Amino acid sequence: MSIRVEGLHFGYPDGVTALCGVDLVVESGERIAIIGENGAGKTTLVRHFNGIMKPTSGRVLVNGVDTATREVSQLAREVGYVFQNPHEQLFARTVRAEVEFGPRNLGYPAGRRRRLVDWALEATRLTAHSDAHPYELSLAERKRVAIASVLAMDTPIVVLDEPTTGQDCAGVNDVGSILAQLRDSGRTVVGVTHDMDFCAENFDRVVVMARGRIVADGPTAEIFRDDAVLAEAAVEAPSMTRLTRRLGWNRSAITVEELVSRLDHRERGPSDHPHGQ
Amino acid sequence: MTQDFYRPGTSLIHRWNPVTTLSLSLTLVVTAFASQALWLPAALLVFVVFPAALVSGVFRRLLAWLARFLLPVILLLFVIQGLYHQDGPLLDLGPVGVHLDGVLFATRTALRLLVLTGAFLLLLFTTHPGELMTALVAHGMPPKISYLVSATMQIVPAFRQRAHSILDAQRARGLRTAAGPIGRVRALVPLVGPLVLGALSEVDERAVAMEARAFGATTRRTSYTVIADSAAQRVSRWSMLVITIAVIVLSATGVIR
Repeated sequence: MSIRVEGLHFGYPDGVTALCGVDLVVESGERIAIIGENGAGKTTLVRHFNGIMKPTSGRVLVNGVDTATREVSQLAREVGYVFQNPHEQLFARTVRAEVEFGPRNLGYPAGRRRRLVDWALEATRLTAHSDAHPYELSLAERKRVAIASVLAMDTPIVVLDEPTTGQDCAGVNDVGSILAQLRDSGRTVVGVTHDMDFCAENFDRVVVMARGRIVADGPTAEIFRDDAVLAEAAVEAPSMTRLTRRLGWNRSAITVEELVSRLDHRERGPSDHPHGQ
Repeated sequence: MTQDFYRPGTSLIHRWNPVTTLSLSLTLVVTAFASQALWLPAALLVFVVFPAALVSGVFRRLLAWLARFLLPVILLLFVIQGLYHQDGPLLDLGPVGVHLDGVLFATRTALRLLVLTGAFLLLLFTTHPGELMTALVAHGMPPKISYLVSATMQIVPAFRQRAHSILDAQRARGLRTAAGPIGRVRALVPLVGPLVLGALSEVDERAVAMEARAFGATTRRTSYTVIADSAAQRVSRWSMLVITIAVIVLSATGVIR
């Protein structure tokens, strides 16, 4: 299930141009992060993926179908979208009913619905709260309810807008393991994030946006080593990258895991010294 | 809609202290309603409201809004008052007739409505609502009233924006909003729920945030934005107050009719 964006322009009614010529292909099963400073057009771009926004010009194809010809509620079958603010969607009396809302709208039979809801609650560590009122939960938990409610829709593409904002360490790890599960089940994941450490550890490909355009697009490890690109997009490199750079490593590390494994190499044999001496 | 009235400008009236413009509007309205004479509201309209609108560059918008608001009302007034009245007909049209006192009544009411609406449209077109509130507070209006008015005006666009986001979020979860009357009613729950819950929790947060900034303090407060005023405007405001009181007194005692 792929997404193909061709020459996408989008202008708001008040005259602000949010996207000016975006071309992007997201292949089935990819985990791709979209980064960039506020106002770069990240959210506007991903809102085209499920048809909430329609191009001013250009096309967005989801699995070959032009989104301009489909209703948002029809595209909901292909693209699950987790909004940044959970308060814009929570309405049900219980967490379980909230999570079941999407699958019910999509007309899934009761058995499948139950399995999906159970799985989504489990993945977001909310099983114990399934009978609670969503507003009894903390903000971080409510945000996970919003994630669960989209996971339970079992869509081949999942878009997450700022999934880690307001989450504590455990919550961020949960989102990470959800992303891993989505990848293992072959789903396409698109994430918008400001959390560069999270991005480095959980996404394989990074698209960098600035001023309504894509300024870089490539494997995570390459993008985060490109200072010029990061400066243009006004984003900070992951903390491990900054650390290893300060330590004077020729080739900086991106994640904790990478740093540790390369330190291990150093311990074991100076022949693998990153300075290559 | 409230946000659409005011547009920035540099005219004399735009630069007036909002309280001066408000005084002018109130004086116009009181005067227009004080007398039975037709010439008075007509003169106010032609010699005060329209020239003021021309000076501040809102004349065309004023006419457009007056037509939109009042044209149907005035037409109805003339039909009802002109045709169905007690006295003998001015013009006999068989089963119905046009009556003089009916036409007079309709004309008077129409002129008064034109002054009333025109005066307040002039105020709304040339005065930033926030500045009006600040100026009124500076003149001793309780800040709570100012908050009540400002919050109400701000909440409409904010609410609309929020309703839009909620609609997007629920449609993204497969909610169909255009599926017959029953479907529509059922779709309301997931839309109204977050709107109301959100508004309630916002009230709470807002109250705390305002209290944290000493909204309930009883001392006389100073204003962050100082709104320009002048001696001439002060004098004119006092004069308008005197005129208004005089008109009310003269009208009540039957000196002017």
